[in-house]
Amino acid sequence: MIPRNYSFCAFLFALLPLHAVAGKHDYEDEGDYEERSVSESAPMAANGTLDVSNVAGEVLISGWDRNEIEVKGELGYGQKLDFSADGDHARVEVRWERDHEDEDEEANILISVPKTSRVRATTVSASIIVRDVTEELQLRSVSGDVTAHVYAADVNIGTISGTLQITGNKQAAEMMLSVVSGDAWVRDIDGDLTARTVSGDINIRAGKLRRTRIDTTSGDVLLRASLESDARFEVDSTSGDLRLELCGKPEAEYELSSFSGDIVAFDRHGEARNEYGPTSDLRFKLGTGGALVRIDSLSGEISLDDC
Amino acid sequence: MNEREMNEALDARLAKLARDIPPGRDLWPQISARLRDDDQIVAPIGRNRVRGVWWWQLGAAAVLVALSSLTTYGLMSRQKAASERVAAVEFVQHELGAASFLPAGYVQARQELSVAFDESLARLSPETQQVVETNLRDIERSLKQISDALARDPGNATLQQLLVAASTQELRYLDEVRRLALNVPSKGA
Repeated sequence: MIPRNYSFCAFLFALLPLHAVAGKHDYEDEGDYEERSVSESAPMAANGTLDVSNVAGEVLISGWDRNEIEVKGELGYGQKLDFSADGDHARVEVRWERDHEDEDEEANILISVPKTSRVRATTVSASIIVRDVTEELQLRSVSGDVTAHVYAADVNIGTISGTLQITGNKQAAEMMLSVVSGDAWVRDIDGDLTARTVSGDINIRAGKLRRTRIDTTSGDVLLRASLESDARFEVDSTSGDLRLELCGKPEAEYELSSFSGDIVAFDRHGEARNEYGPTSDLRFKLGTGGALVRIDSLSGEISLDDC
Repeated sequence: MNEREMNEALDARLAKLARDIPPGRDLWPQISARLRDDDQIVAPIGRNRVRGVWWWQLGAAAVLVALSSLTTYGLMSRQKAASERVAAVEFVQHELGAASFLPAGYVQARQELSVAFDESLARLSPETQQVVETNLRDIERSLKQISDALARDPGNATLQQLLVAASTQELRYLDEVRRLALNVPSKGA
């Protein structure tokens, strides 16, 4: 993933000297049937909002120190760029021309915005990459990967079949992730985390979590994290296996339960408790028990260890 | 005007409607906040005490999702609604057999979201549709497994919690797909 990003950046930067034409353009009138380089720029407030949508290809959104938005890249055959900016709000949209839609054509766009901008991006068959943007991110992709560096602001990211790759900055934030069939890779995040997956696996290597809620249907969850002293850590799984590592055996009330899966937590084993079903439970308290760890599973295995 | 002509006239009117009517605001953060607030009221140990709260949480989520869904799709979904709602009710009440374990708000929300979901699905490419459908079946299968287990052990708090979680997961999934599909060109992605 990372090498691919760098190659894409190199490709875009190689284009810059050739197509450094700023200003408003109506690309629709410049030959509908050829690949075209695009270049736009406009003033943008440091706390402005960027809305992006793209069909097919890749969108790289990068924060910088200038109060300006700049859009550069290349459109595929039959694609059109709509760009508007009024200082506070900018919109960049790549879409198909009427009667044209070729799944082999791609638009690769590099957007530079003030690093404290709020970014909302939605793509279809297009990947999203966000870096050096420190404020709120809302990223959605259908059949596209999402890669983002996140900071101390709220993040809401979802894909249907793409892969999520999130890298935090060890700053507390509120993060909501939703994947369907793609996998999620998350690291160096702190604060609150809500993650949902259906069949994709979730892999998390976090710092200190305060509120955590993870729901999986059949995807596995692998997690390593520490918990705040008053944390709530809750995981529900139907058939996905849960392999969790909570560093330092947090002082908490532990409630682990599975209908038919095995439970092992800090070398303790779940015990059958119900005369009507095979449900096994494991409940215990460590230290003052200021935090709560609740993990439920129907048939997935629950494994809880120290780091 | 016979029924077919009426349907065609309705089709024509529906075709003129805007495909997307964005909700006035995103309701999920509010749902999430309410769920968290309620969670904080509950004592950490003692599953039986929280059972009633779980039902209320799911009910609240279901109602809010239904409202969100209705706001967006109320007008454009009437034509298919009848048959789809029957299918949704059949699934929930008979195949799933979970109606006795879930609040009425869930059933209604599922009906409404199912209609919106089908409208959204048509906008996606065949490959994406397959992914979405496969995963929806996965969720439904998990609901069925939990429901079957719950039928054998109705008082099992773990199963109740899992059913609520899986049901909420399903509603969120339907809503998420709907939201994502709003941005897909009508020819598909």
